[in-house]
Amino acid sequence: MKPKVGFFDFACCEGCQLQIANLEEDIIDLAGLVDIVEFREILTGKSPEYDIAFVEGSITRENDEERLEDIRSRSKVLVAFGSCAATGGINMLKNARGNLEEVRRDVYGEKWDSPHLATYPTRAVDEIVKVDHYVYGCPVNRDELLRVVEALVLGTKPEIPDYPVCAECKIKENVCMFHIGKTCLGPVVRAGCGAACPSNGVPCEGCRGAIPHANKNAMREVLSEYNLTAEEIMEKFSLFPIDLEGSK
Amino acid sequence: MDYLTISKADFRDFVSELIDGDQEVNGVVKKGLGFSYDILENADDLCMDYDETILPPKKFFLPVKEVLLTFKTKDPASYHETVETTPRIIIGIHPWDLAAIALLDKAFSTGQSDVNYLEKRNNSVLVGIYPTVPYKHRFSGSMITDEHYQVADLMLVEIGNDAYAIEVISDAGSKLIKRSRAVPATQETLDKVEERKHIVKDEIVLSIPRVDLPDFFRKRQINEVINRLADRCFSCGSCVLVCPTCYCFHVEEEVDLSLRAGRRVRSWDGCMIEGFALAAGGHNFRETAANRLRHRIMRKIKYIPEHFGMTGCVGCGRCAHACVAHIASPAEIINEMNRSIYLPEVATLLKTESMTEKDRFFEFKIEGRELGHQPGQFVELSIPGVGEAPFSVSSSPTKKGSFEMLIRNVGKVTSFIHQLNPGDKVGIRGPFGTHFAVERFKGKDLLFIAGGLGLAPLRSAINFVLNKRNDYGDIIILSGARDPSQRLFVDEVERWKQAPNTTFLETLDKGDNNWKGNTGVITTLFPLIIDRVAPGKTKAFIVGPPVMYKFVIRELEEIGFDDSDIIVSLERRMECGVGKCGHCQIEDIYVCQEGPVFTYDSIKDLMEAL
Repeated sequence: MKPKVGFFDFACCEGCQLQIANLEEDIIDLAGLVDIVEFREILTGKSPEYDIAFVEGSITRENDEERLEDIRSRSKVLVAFGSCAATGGINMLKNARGNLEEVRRDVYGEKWDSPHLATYPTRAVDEIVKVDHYVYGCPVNRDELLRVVEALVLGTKPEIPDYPVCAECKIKENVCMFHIGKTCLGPVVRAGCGAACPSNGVPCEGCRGAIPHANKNAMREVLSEYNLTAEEIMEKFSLFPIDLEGSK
Repeated sequence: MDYLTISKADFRDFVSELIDGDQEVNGVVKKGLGFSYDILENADDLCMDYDETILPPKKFFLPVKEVLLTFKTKDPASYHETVETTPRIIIGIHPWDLAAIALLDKAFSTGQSDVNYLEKRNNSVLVGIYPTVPYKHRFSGSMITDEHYQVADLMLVEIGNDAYAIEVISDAGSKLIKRSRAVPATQETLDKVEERKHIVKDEIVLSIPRVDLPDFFRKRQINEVINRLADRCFSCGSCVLVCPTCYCFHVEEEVDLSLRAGRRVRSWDGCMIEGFALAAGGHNFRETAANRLRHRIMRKIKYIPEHFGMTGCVGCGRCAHACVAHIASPAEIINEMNRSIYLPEVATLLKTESMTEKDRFFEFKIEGRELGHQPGQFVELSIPGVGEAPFSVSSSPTKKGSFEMLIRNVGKVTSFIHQLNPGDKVGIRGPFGTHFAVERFKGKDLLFIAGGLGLAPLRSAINFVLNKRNDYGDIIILSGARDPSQRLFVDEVERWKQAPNTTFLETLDKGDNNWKGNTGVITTLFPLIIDRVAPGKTKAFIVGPPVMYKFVIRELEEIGFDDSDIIVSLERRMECGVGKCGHCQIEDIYVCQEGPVFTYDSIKDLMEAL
């Protein structure tokens, strides 16, 4: 029997699920591996329980919690799928502003206090329920996603890199962003994307979050040596939630 | 040695014909603002005047990722070997990369032969070239000699603007070059060859002979050079991934999505990546960046030379270029470890201004590096022909690009320092000694007590904690001076007063008509703060003239401070700064090593201390 898989989304752009819809011919192989029983973007239907639940998006409303806990209780394995689910992602930007009423006014205008627009500080999925595995990225990397699914089906532990993007840049033989006058978070950010951004001339902005034991002190030092001001460094670390003040 | 010569136009035609032939032809091509080895589609893409490629040519023999075996899942009998052996010509390899290939040849053929490597290697023809363009980080002249790169089949030397001399090294090389219009070299060309080979000079030279390196490291374990550099290491692996002599790899299985078949692949890995020595069960056998950096250097400089009798580092400089933290160059590490402990570095005076009649403020910069000090540490400053003296650093380590000191004109060296002008150079050794360790006291209240010039070293700690204001509780600063003319950092003190939850109180031994503030010795400020200081959650830092300590410490003890929460900095005659000369000794303690910063409980029983 193929494992039953469901995809669910919370606060996000659904771009990670779109990565699956975009798998093209690989989607046929994926369908051979697992039985996708719930996936709003490509099919209708529901299932009472799941062998693997992929949860996309971060948690930003009280009634999100209830729904997430329900999904958890009906799933054998839960995977935080994409940056928003795994780390809080880009939605964490609003937490830095502090005043959420102001945020809602800015975003929703006149009707900001409608009940369905109620929002609280963004949280990652593992701040609410137990997460068994993480797939990082904004959006997720399709090959990595397939490897994770495959590992779960095979019953092995999915291997997610815990070395930084620099390693993948070297292997791709990219010219270092720092050598063309740009500054990049590659030295502290988790690889697995295949250095997607630097390979296209764009510095790493940190969508996969910091690696374990990331040397953030050194990152701040290096960025300031490349003439970034303290504010610019702070800004660089804040697009995706990378704890700037955290030590190594 | 046979030498031929060929015009550059004829060489281009030769490459063009090779490309049209049935062998894969690789060469150096432009890649953005860098260079890389790639399959040549067109002879005009070939760059012979490149500084360095991002990755070395080892990628042809030890690919970034390579299939070793194929298999069917659940069938151990189905494991099947695969060996890829595309015959290749590789054009434009620098001497050090050839030396590195010679090492890999040895490593993969010693003991059991690694056929996956050797098959690719044996099916290749290597065309080398002596460098024509300098590269900032290269130090190959210190690491390799001509004998190291005899693995080349042909070796090109640029002669003037239009021609190459060709050294024919092997039969394969001889056979290949016969397909070109190369002719025997004239005596005129031969006369130029030796000089042209070494026309590009290295910017970095190793300060000890290569053959002495294994012995040099036998006597040195992890030292402060490695520790200091490792503090900046990202463990990103860039240095080892771009290295032509690194050949460590990782082996894993890849399974098709069908789950029916798969491959066992090996891919590049390196000892500088944190998880490299992580074993099942979670124990990491090389857990710290310092351990990893030490291993990398030892492997290059000691283990490989001792094991294979060949150099483990060829001095290409790619690691130094790839490392954005600038800590990777073996040459720089070795030279720094090999430096005399008494040798100063050059620092430039950026700015100086008078602060009182006898005190001047100085801002210095060391070219190419931060001082790397902690609040409370000191440096030795040299004026050639006059001498050397110790001074506390007064700026916070959070200030980048330069460091500051407040220096009182009281002796021979200081009188010369006071005459320096911006742009003048001095010698600097250090930083030395222990520090206030304020980074360890996050969440605590801090009480700084400065007498006179003692404000200078404390200023380093004060600015450090004010830069990280949210990490600390209440901050109180007490400062005493003799009279209004002796007040220090007057403008800056106004900014300290504005910081949140920060109190600055000042007293003068003797005021004047304009002085509206407190007068009296520093202990007269204690009644003003006594209600707000919470012993137990407060660390007190005292720096001032010798006579001050006793009285201040007595007050603190009366409030209820534990002696371990009282931190003092002691001034002594620190001539060498490195724990040798003996001038700074208090009983059995060298102040320059175990101090100048002490907790009071660690020195209170030493008769000579206070």
